[in-house]
Amino acid sequence: MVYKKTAGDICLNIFIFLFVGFLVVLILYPLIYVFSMSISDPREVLTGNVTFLPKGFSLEAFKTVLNNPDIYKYYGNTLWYTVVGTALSVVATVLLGYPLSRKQFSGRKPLMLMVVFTMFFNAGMIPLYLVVVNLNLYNTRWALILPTLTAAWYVIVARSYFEGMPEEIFESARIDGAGEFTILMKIVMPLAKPILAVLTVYFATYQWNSYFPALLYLSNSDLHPIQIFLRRAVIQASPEAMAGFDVEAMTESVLAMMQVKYAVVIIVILPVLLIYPLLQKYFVKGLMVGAVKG
Amino acid sequence: MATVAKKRASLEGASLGRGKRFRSVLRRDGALYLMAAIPVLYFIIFKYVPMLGLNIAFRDFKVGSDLLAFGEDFVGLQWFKEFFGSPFASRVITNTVVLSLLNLLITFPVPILLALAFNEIRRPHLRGFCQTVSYLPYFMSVAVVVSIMTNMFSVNSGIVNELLGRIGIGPIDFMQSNDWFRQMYIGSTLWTTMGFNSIIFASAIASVDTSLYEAAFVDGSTRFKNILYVTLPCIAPTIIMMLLLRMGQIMTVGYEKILLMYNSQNMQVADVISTYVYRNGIQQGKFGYAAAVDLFNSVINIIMLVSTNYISRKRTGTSIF
Repeated sequence: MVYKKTAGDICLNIFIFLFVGFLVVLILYPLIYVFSMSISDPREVLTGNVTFLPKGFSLEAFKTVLNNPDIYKYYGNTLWYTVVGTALSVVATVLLGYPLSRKQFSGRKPLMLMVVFTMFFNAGMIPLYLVVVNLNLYNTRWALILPTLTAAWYVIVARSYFEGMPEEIFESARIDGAGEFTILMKIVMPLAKPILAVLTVYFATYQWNSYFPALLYLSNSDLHPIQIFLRRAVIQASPEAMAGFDVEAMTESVLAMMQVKYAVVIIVILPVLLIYPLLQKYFVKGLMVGAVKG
Repeated sequence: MATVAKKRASLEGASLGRGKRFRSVLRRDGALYLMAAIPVLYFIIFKYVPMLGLNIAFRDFKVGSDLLAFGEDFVGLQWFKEFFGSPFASRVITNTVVLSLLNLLITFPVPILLALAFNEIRRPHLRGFCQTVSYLPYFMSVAVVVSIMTNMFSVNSGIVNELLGRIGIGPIDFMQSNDWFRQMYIGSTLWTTMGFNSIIFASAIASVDTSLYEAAFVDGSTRFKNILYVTLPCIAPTIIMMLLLRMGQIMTVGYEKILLMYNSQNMQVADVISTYVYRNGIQQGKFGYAAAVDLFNSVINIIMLVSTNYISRKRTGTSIF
């Protein structure tokens, strides 16, 4: 609708412009800065000349990072956890979300109660750790996958989606003599792509980003994901973790370590940035499905 | 449809015997139970068995003992007494509450303001761009966020100290200081979550009936007044609901970020209940003691959640359950 612009409206516009503009800069600055540091000329980095945009251009830091065989090991591990973990998590979530969405299912109420209760009370770190140890999962890859296979919230999101499907589909399939497994595989799954995408994106992001379960359950560093390496190399600056980088090959070896740290960060977040448009779309979608009935 | 199915099932059940009724239910729902079997097994093993495992909070549990042998090496409330008798109790409880409250105070209102501001941006592309940018940090892992922060705030090579140095301040060792830990923690949390957390408020704002705005304009309202007197009251239930969820977690400060941020220099303020549990339980193997501290924390959380929910239901009619 059309209305007269008052002085107050203009002030409001200016204020909003400044507020949002400030926050957008605040959010982007660290990311751009890290990127600039990683590709700038090492000499400019060392003299502290890089404050925002790249100065000069050099890929030496990336070369140093990619020449470290450890990086491939940790990266490979993270890929494994992400692919296998996400696949199993999505399957498990659908296998529970679908039955819970069937109104005639006699186990619906008790199983739903079982799921929802875990949202309000969980046993915490210690007993879960002991269960993992007792199951002989300690120091195996499964320790990063099974204990976090699914969670109440994801099951509820999946259930909400399946509940929203028109009942007629199920009725006609049943009249044609289809069993529940056939209905799930042949009829529900082809229609469930949006929710599968949402779940995939959630679980994959979780697996890619998580570090704590690895700290808890894996002492064998051959199984560590890249996030653990980030912790040791960048945050703790452990010499043992940095030893794999052949910084001697770089122009100024001692302080070049710093540029390597920025390059490592970029390499870890690169896949996330590349699929970010997808991530954003499905995260928001999932939030909406979950909010309706959560 | 569901009631018909139910009625049919109960009719069958009434005319048949108990065993037959069970069998007819099983024939109808068997496949669904079979589907749910694996995830249900997951919930039992990784959620409910650990809950039973909490009994070790009252036992002198040692590696190799049976997690579910309830009465074995029973010590009663010994671990609780030990915790409350130690100087650590007041330290970690205070740190948890202070950090959590400050965090709530700052990270809760900003997403609401952000959602309101986004809503006032009239150009769809500009608004879309700002929103997309603001969600981005949410997808960075804690390890990445703390890495970036450690690099940028580092005392000898970080950009922040570099810039402060140019105007004659510092250097300040932000990452290793009792005075700066809370600012660093809350600032990075704000950076990571403010955009993403605004989504829920933005969707509440989007569902406000636009005829309310038009009516207000006709009555001589301005855009600013509309925000205050139309938008805010309309999204108040959402705000209260989100606040309730946060209040229920007031005694929870996640260990994930703090474990990456704390060191001997900022331990005084950085050590919270969850990191204390991690240190004692996992690193020192005092399982019973750590489980007791964690159990105490969980019980407080439940009390907080139930009571804030109760107060809100009485006062505002909004509640989670």
